[in-house]
Amino acid sequence: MGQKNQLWWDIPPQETFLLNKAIYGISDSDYHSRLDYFVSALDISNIIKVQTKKLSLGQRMKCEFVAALLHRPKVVFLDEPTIGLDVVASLKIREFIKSINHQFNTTIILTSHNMTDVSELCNRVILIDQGHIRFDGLLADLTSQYTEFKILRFAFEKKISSKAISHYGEISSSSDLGYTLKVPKDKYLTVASSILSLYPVTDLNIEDTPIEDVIRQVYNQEKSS
Amino acid sequence: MSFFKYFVIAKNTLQEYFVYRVNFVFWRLQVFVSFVIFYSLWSAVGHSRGYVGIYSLSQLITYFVIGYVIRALVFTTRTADIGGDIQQGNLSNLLLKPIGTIKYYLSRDLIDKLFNLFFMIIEFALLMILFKPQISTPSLLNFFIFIVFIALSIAIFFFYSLTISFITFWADNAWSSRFLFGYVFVNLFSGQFIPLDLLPNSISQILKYTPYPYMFFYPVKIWLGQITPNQAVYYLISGLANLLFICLLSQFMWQRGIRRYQSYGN
Repeated sequence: MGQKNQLWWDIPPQETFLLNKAIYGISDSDYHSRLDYFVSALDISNIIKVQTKKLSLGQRMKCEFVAALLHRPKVVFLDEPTIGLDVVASLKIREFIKSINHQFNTTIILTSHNMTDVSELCNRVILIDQGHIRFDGLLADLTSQYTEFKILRFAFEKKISSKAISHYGEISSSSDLGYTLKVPKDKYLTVASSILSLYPVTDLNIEDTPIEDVIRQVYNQEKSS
Repeated sequence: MSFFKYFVIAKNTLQEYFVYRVNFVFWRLQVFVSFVIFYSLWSAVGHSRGYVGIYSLSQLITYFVIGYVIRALVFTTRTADIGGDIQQGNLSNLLLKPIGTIKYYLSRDLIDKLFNLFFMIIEFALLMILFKPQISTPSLLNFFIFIVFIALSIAIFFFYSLTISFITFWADNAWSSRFLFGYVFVNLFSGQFIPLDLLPNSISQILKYTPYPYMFFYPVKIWLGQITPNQAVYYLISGLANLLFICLLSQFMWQRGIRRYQSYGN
């Protein structure tokens, strides 16, 4: 999305919105209600009358979204919608994408290398490698299908020897009072309850394998097969 | 509603011009200064010799002064932008929307012409005050034919310039073809620098079969009364044939080019 802009560079985004209104024959009432919604959701009321060239990348991206969505397309293709944006702007854009998907039933097809985008926004995932589809299904299925481990993060009241912990699973990292364990999926509940009953645990987090690792595993499996 | 979108494109284009108004003033200034140089040169030649070829001093001055008006009407265009839009992939923005690409550029052309025309009128008034040129005026009939030919010139140059821009579909960076065909050839062969009937006969005979004289030379000749209404009918038919050919050529290149078009980084 960042590469080709439809906003007219030298004039305010509002003029592009009005042009799209004319191009797509959007009625006055629809135009105003949609614009009001987008402007408030993206918090851009103070910038739509500023020359596009004077806006930051994040502000331009938000306005590009408005221009692309005013005519309420059924399908929207987004290529790296948060690339180059700061954390706050990325979050805002992700929330906005979610809201248009839910509010208007707009199908979003998103291509991204940003796994936060993928895990936050996508239900269905298609993994493409060298032009071939390696996986097509729900994000949850991708995780369950390709991961054999859970990540257990323990924090203890006092120092526990690594020797005592290591026989529960593979230690992937450790600190003074904590361990991160990689445990087979079918055993993680037993491991968690054993450690909880035997050691002074102050905190426990159980997580899926990070999506980046899952995807890496899919590609590695395909290469080795 | 279908026309309204082109009106909005024209309105946005006008707003763009106001952003770069200083730039535009300097652009017009260079057009004016170039004209003054040409005008001074040719009037000096006319003064020293009385006649240049078939042109009296007054006709020679009229040739370039009316030419100044024609240049503002005919050679002002935004079709040169298409090359860059193809090269940089911005054409995709137009292809994805329900708008006619050619009509889009036509709308922008209209504003370009109106803006140039506005400045040209001011400059023309300045020219009259500064140089007080003796301009010959045409008969009412010739003036009417002149207007028809100006419309023809605008159409021919529009499709000609479009065709040159479409070369970018095949040559990634077509600035050299734009410079050669869109600037050098047009300036030389349309008669903007030198009246074509002052060129060697063999060259002016060849140029008769090209679209260039229709862009500038014939309209001026009609204003000067050096083309009779009967001859004008012949030139009009021949000009329309040129227009048809160049229009079909641009369509053909568009149809072929758009199949080759690739937008990188989208």
